[in-house]
Amino acid sequence: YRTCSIADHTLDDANLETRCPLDDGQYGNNPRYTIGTLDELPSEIIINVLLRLDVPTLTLLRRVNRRAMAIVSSLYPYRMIRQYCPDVLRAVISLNASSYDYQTLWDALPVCSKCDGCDLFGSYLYIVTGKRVCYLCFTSGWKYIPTMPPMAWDAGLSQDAVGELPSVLSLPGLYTQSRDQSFNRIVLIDRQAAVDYDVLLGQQRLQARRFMAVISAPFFRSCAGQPPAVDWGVFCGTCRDKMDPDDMYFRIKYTMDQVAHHAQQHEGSKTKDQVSQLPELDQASF
Amino acid sequence: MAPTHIRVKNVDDDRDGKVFTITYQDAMQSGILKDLISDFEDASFVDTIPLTGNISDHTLSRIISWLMIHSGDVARATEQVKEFLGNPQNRQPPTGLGMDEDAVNKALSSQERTLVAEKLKTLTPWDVQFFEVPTDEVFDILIAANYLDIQRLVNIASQTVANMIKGKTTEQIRDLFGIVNDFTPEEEDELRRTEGWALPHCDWTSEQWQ
Repeated sequence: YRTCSIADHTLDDANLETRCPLDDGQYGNNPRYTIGTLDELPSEIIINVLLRLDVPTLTLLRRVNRRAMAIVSSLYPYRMIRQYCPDVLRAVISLNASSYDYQTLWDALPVCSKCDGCDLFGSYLYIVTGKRVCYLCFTSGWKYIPTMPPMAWDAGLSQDAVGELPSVLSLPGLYTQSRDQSFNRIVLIDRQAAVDYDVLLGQQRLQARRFMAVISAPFFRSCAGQPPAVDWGVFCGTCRDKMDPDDMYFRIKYTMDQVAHHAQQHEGSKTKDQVSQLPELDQASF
Repeated sequence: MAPTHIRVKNVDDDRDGKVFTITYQDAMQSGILKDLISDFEDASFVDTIPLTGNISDHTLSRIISWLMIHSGDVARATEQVKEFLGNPQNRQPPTGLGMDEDAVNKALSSQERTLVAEKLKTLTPWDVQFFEVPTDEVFDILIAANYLDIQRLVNIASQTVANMIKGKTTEQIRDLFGIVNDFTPEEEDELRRTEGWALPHCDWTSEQWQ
């Protein structure tokens, strides 16, 4: 059971750290001014309002003034994501995914570990809609391969309707294992939402698009009375060893809760040793 | 027996405000009014419930009009969802193998709850129009709804404020709420750079990504 890294060339390998460094919140100290009329609201209401903003807007709000920055930094969901999976935050900001609010993103991380398309652990985040997906789902099937505006227009959607669909702006870079290069930033639309309009979308030849909008996302397992454990999931070593080119099961990731159960299915004597080798979880600290 | 109509008097620090009459059903949406009514129910000599929340008469009358429109919402949404789920095609967890009836019912009722909650979350055109008022009036309603413990109105009003912020530049947000900018231009530039790709003018042809 290892956390081996296979370079898939998703957004994980897109140098997000240099492209979108994120501020460290240092200017949020010692604010001198209020955030205007917003400060008349009770703080629980301010939090309620801020979590309804989409992620790029919330990030933009940090630049309004020092107190705004301090307030955004103090939001628990913001703090947790900023601290434990900043790349998720970077990806959502960089792709300008504004069709869902911060609460939705946060709900996707700790509350539910399930893939949107199946019952497995969804170890990736599909940035267009902010939902979890697993490797098997996002690399196959039609649901998580984003489409583009010209194709939606061809299918008979009006420009306005296309504008309302959840969309992101991709980053140039190398995607898929074959390292397909993408030079331009292109608009990617959620295919599922487009299909809800009952239109027939053309087949996709560009598989690279599947990889442009996903990033690894951890699962925040809440422990009663303790800080949550950050779980990135692990591959099963036994499945990997009997690697079969037609069988992608070795790409399934398991959460720490699931892996012990999965291990029982391989009736091997080594199961026990391997479980004891489980990597230590990052314990979140405050 | 529960009365059909409630009289609510808006009591300020120094003066007696207006008296509002609302139906029992409408009032039940507010946590505070619900508590007050159950407190006063036995005391039959009190025919008007005093409300001391420092809420202006105007705001209170607007909130009461909101309560009147939305009092049947939960029942209506539940009914619609029940009807929707009545069609087996729409049921999400299909009766799987090895699932007993209890588990199926449980999954269905949880799906029903989510769908009802989703229905109640959406802003109706009426709500959008309701909040087409100056910002400070929206804030008054938000604060009063929070005091009166009307969770749905709080959520809808919060969503309205969030929608006001969306799609604006930092300068427009400052104008909207009267916020003083205390960053120096250099600091602002630096912060803008940290958002990197979010900026359309960002030079991505550089070797950064190669």
